[in-house]
Amino acid sequence: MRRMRVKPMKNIDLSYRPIRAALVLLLVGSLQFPAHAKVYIDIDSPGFGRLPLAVLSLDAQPGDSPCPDRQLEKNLEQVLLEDLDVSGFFRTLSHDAFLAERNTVKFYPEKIDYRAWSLIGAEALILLRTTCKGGQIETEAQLLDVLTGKLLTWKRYKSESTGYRLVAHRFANEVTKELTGVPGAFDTRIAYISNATGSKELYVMDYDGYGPKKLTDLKSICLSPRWSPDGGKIVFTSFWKRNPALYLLDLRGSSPLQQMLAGFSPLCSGGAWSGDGAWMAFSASLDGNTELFRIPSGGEGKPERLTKNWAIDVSPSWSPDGKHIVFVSDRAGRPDLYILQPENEKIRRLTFEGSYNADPEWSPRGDGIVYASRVGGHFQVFRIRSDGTDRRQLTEGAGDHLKPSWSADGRLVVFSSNREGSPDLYLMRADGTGLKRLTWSPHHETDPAWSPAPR
Amino acid sequence: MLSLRGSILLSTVFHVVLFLALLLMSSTGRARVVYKPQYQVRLVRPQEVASLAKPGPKEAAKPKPPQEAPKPKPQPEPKKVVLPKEEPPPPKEKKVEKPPPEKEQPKKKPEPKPAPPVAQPREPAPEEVLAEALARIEKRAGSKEKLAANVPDGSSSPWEEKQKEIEYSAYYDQVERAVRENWIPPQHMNFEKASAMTVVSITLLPDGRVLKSYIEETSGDPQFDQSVMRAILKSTPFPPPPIGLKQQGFDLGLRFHSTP
Repeated sequence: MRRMRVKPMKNIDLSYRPIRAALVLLLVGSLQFPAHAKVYIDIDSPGFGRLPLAVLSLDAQPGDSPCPDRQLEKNLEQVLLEDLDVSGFFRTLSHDAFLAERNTVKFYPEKIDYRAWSLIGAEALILLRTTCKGGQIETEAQLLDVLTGKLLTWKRYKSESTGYRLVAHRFANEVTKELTGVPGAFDTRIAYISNATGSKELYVMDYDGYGPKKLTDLKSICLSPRWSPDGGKIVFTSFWKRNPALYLLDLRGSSPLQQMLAGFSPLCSGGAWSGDGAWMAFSASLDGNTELFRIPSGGEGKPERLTKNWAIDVSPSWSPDGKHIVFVSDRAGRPDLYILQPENEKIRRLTFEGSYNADPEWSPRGDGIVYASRVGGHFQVFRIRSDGTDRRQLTEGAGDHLKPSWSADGRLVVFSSNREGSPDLYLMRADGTGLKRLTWSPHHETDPAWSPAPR
Repeated sequence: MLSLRGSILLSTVFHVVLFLALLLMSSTGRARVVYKPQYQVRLVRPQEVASLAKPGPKEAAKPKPPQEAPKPKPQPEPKKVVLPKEEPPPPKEKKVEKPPPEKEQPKKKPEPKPAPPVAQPREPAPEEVLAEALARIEKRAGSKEKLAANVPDGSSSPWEEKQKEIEYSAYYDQVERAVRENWIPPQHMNFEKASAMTVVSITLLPDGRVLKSYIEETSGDPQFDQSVMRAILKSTPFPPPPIGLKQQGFDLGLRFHSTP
């Protein structure tokens, strides 16, 4: 072992030049270091907020042919405002707050006095200009970023003068896409069942309850409509020929109402297309017990049985990727939701709470399933993730809330409720806020089904 | 075997190289100091409190910086600190405002605030916290004389450092408040239960105007990033940086967090 000799510290000569230099350098360095460090300030979100937005319909500009009916422009603006409000993402500013005179605002992004808009707190500005030519309206719409003066989108729509609602809905979709990343579903429709004529018939209306239209005249009971992924067909259950059966309605009118699977089972119900349109799942009773089946959605071929159980299996709804089906079964003694993988027939239970769970529908975004669950004697709408977590009650109050159905963008939910007396249709955001009543008739409006986005 | 002198030389050379490398990295690889305004609190020891109390008459000129330092919205608020026991003479209260923070420790919540009667500032001003700490210490210590007994004399240079630190902190607080007030994180993030963070770098001119700003780290959500940039646009001009930070092109990082 080698011996180390340690000299006492006092022998170190601090006047030795390299050491002194090093010390000076260290000192200088240590003084300078903080100046080089960049400071990062943490800013925690002050809570989320709606984006302040100003909407202005401009007066006719020189060279325009103004519409004889000025109400039309106001109506168009009103529809747009309502759409933006329903989404819950925007706060539209009152016209009273506007600093810019309506007739001084020009329809050119470079001629806008953005300060007049940022001063009132607007972060985005929508300008509308509608002109009329021989019964046709032409609407130009701009979305501008007030703070940067950037033109975010500029659209031009031509339609019949009666089509202004669709124009407003389409532009609301654009605004939502531009400012939230996902287009809105304001130009979609809702199919539903109403007994306004004394029998339960199939109807369709705009997403906001406007323009209801009767689609069937079977003088029977129709139930559970579901849209094809292209929005061109609706499948529904009807007792038209005594026993419940599936019927296919072609909305484009190219083929008449047609009964499906007539030769397969006398009792079929709850048809639902897969997201890619390749399959239709449904429930049918062959030997007194209701099971799930699927067929290629063309209707040809032999149905494939998906469940084998003594219990009743009904109300299938596909996951958007087509790999799973959520359905209702009473195999554990009471109606609960289960998830089935058609490829390997694996089944797992999804709900364990609530005495009666029914009407599941998988979100088109895949992130949640809405369903009705009985709580304290009333059905309420719930949502749950497909792994069984994050179960949330979305509706409250008296009455039954049933048959929830997702909007195409997965941000809104329509359902039926008798909270105000006779069953009517209501809309809410997928977090349960923004409740809006869609139908106001004394009749029964039930079984809503939200259409996919039009293609 | 190397002589001591030789080994010292070797070691020195090694250290200098290491140091230079570190220095270089600090300027290019940018060191980060993250300033978290809300969750810091200064804890003081009784001796320090007393040390502040004692050299009172000498440092009569100094109370200015701490006064303007924490600049919370309700202007008069920092002064309205009420001490539970009023034995200390007036000079004491003044001095109390700037003891060197011995330790910094995350605070659970700034709610236990019996004193300030004004509004409701989001974070306690350093004075308030100090006053509170002082009150507690006084209770425990019983008599003031005891505290004042073992007081070392305060030297001025660490004080200057502290003052600077307080001044900078106050500035960062101001910036944080200004930007947060102008920031509207998009509602759809809340809706979709998405958390996000965007880091923005801004270069400030001495008068507080923004020379340039860019996204250093995106959240991945363009709308969230836009909301952050809008907040910066709305906050322009920023409060002018304090003298020590005032330089052409003063860089500041802003980390925007949102958690639903």
